[in-house]
Amino acid sequence: MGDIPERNGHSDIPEATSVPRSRLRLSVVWIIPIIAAILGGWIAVQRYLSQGPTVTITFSSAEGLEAGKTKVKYNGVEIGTISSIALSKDLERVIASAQMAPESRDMLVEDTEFWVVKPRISGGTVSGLGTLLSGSYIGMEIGKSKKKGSTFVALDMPPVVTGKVPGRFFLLKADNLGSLDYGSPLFFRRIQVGQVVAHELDKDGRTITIKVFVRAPDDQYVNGDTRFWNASGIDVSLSASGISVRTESLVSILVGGIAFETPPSGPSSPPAEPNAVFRLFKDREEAMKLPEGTPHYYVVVFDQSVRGLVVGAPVEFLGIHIGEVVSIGVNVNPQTLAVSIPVTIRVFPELLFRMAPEAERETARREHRAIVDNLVAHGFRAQLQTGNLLTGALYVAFNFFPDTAEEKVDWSQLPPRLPTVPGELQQIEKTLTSIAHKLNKIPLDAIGNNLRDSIVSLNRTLKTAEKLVKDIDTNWVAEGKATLVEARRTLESATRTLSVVDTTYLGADAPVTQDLSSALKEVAQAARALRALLDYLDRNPSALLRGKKSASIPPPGERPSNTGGKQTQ
Amino acid sequence: MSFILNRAALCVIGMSLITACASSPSHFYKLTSIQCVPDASPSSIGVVVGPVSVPESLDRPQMVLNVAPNQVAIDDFNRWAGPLQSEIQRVIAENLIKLLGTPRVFQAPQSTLASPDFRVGIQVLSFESELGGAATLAVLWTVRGKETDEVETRYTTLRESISGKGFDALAAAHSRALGKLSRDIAEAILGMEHQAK
Repeated sequence: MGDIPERNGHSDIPEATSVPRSRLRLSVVWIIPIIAAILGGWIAVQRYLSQGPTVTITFSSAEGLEAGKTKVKYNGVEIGTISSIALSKDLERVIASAQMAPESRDMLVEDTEFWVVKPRISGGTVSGLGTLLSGSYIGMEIGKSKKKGSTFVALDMPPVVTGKVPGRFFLLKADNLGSLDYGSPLFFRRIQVGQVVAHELDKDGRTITIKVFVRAPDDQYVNGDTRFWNASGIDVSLSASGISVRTESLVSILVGGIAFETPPSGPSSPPAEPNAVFRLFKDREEAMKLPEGTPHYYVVVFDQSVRGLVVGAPVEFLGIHIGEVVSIGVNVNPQTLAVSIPVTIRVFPELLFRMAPEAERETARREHRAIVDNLVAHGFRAQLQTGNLLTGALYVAFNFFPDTAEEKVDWSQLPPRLPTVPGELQQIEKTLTSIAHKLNKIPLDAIGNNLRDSIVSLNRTLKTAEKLVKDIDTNWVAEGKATLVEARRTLESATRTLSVVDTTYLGADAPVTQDLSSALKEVAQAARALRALLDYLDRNPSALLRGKKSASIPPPGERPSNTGGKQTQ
Repeated sequence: MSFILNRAALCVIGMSLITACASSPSHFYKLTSIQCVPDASPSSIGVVVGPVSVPESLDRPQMVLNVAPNQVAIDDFNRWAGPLQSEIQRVIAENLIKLLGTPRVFQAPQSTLASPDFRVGIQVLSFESELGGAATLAVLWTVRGKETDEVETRYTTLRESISGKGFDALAAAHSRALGKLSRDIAEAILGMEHQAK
């Protein structure tokens, strides 16, 4: 118990004074909503930052697209979604806006391409089949530009070649498209090395430009000398040299194709520049034809039937193709009614000098006329020859005919006229006629007379022969008789010899026969003894072990015994 | 111990086998020709006897005995000394020599007679032996002369009772039967000879 000091009243206790709290101070409870607000704001900011860019893509049709569902994929990775689809103001197109992922910010440059991926058959390939199940999506191809873009127009067709594949583009100029299309294959040595990427009709409407893509490393084979040709379908040609069928591949038969090859002759050029322009030839023959040089036109006149000769038939020299027939005409002289057929031909003399050095070629070009005159002077003539016996196709062949009459080249005419000789068939006709003439000239009467004289003399000869035979008969017969007697004696001695042989070897007493018969008898006896033994063993097989046992013969029965019954018949 | 037992057993078995292998001896019999011949004038007829054919059932060395009307027994211990057909051929040839009085009787095929006057062919159809009973003989015989149309064919049946016991008596009975047959053949030959003359 302590003593609490008592104080008067309560004045010793200090007074409490109220200090009003400052309004600015927040109470602790506010921390929670503040934190909540900060978190909310943080989330909103995050959301905003994580949102990717929005792009607008214009499509020609919204088929297969669904707002909020259709994805945008690049290389199979989802990088965006179509957020809304709306029709354009003029109701021609569809404007879709896509919400892209933030990582795609760098991808969205000006020439980025978008297209709808859905099942599609083009250029011989089927693509996008997966979308049958999963639904269409939008494919994307990143462009190469540096500027950013946000509005795009979708492609109608997926790009044939994606930007990543290394290779080169080339431009081909053609008269017509043939059966080529986007994606038609490009072949090099029958391997597919690229595709047709695009085609476009030129402004003048005469040619078509086809853009092709050749993959690396095969694009190195395209150089300045490379020839491209249309290798679609099957190429069947029937010519003076026979039937030929060419095709590149089954795909090319169906969807068309282009093939290229560098002709082997000539120095190797450097690989072609990208986007270099080439000419697209109709077929391989045309493409690979070597530069022919300048054509020269001539006329050759025939006076025989030219049935089987067509425009385009080859002109050959000693089997080498040097040109074609350009046109076939006919000339009738109304007074004399003589018919001649002038055939215009186009030859490329440079083809004959291809192997020669450049200097010789130059000389040949300049002194062309002199060379032709020289050739003609030595018998250089044109002749129609049969190229194909089946079809009867003819062609013009040049050759040396040393026995023909002298002729000259008619340079005054235009085109100049070259001399000809008749064709092979005509020559055969000529030979046959000459043979017929010769036969006519044979003097048959004189031959007849001669024959008669010969027969008369033959008659005389026969008579002499008869006399000779009679002579033989009288003189030689006696000799013959003597010979015959001699022969008979020989035969008799032969008979005696044979009879001796007979008795010695063949007769019944002959020692040979007796030996033989006794040998046979021995053999027969041996066989008989063997047979008896085997028979005994058959009946008593145990005799081998136990020896012979006396068999029990049943005792003779009581029988009346007849004394000598005899019967003779 | 077992080794010695084995040896002993082997010896016993061997000896029993050897004793078992002892067999009783066999007896052999032959046919004989006729003994007494009535007067036979000597002649020079050439005859060839043979071939003689004997039924296959008898063509064996053992004697075949009739036991029942359709049953025969083959006696291994009593045999013919030679093949039956050569015995018969020999006996007939011997008999003919005596009966015809000519030494020129040969047996085929060893005959050295190039062209005999007569050929005798014998076909034995039955040659029965019945012990204690009789010996039966049935023969079809042909005599052929030089010309093609001289042919005599006859069929003879003979039955000789066996006088006495045993196989010797059986052989003797057969020999007697063959003797009678030979007489018939000789008669035929002489008859043909007279006709030819």
